[in-house]
Amino acid sequence: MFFDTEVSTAVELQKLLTYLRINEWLQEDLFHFRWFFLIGVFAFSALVWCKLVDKSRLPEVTLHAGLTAIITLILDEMGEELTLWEYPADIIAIFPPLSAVDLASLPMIYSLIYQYCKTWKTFLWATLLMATVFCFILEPLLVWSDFYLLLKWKYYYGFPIYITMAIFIRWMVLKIYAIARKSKEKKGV
Amino acid sequence: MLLSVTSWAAEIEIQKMLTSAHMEKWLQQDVFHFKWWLLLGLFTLTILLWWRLLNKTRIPEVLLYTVLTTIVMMSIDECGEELILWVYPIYLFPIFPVITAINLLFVPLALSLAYQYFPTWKSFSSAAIIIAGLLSFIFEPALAWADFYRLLNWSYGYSFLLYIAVALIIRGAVVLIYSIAENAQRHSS
Repeated sequence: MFFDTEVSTAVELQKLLTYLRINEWLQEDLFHFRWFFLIGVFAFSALVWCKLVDKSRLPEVTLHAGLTAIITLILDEMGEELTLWEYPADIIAIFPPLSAVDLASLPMIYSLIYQYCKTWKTFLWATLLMATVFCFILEPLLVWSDFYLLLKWKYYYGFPIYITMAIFIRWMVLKIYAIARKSKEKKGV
Repeated sequence: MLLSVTSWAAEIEIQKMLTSAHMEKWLQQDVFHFKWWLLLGLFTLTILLWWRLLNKTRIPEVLLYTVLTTIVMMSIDECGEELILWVYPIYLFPIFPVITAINLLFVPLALSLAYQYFPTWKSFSSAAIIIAGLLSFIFEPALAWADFYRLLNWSYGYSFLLYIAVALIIRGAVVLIYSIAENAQRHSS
């Protein structure tokens, strides 16, 4: 078997990391107060989203939430791998960004802003407000309560990212629906 | 024990080592090498082909299917890599390697086309079984043979069952989302 040293080093390190994570999770997270709290946050935001979402526009808003979830997962995991930040409490021990508060809140809030703000102008104001609340109120609170740890990161670094993400995803969903409309017109439906 | 006091500090150190091992390996053995270009070409070609085959009139619906499948497969892929079930020995990009893994591209794109072409549960299920078979018994062994993918604690049969389950569950979700929207539109009009 050609198990070259570089790949097997990475595999061994991954093994150790996963082992440490699961150990820590079993001892300090699972069934502790913070663990139930996180589950509560997830359940609560899912419920609020289901209540507020416009059912007649569900496919469009879900597409928006799905795209937001993908981008959030990617950025979260990259930041974690680059040790920019860390989530000290996890609902499940593996793939930590999957159960981070980010994933419970960002797709829900972004997609609701998308649903309520039908023009670019109102959308941008709402996004600005949301990014401010996230960076300068919510994240410090998460750090204070030890759900989130900044390693090589500052709160205001996230600010332009939150805004760019929101604009990009809204543009993308609008574009997708515009392509569909144009193609329908072409076929004369 | 030292580990239990500063468990996350140990995790962060190992994460750092793991990321730098990924990075170093990528810089020395992957990037701009023949296999890297091959992978990049395969990526581009697949996306172009998918875009050509995509029915633009139904793009919001098919994309919703793609996005949901991507979220699920990305999570499964990353969890599998963290649990050392499989490993990707060559990366397009060294940070969060899983998102540039070829399996993550193929599964959502192939299944979303099946979703587009087969509108009934019966035809879709047969298509999903055939696609899962092709992916797990032809495509994945070929990838493993060319060393783009290594199974550590995994077998192709597991992939087969997993893909079928994911395909059916996501189709159920998309159908449900659209029927909720239809109901809501009927009630409001």
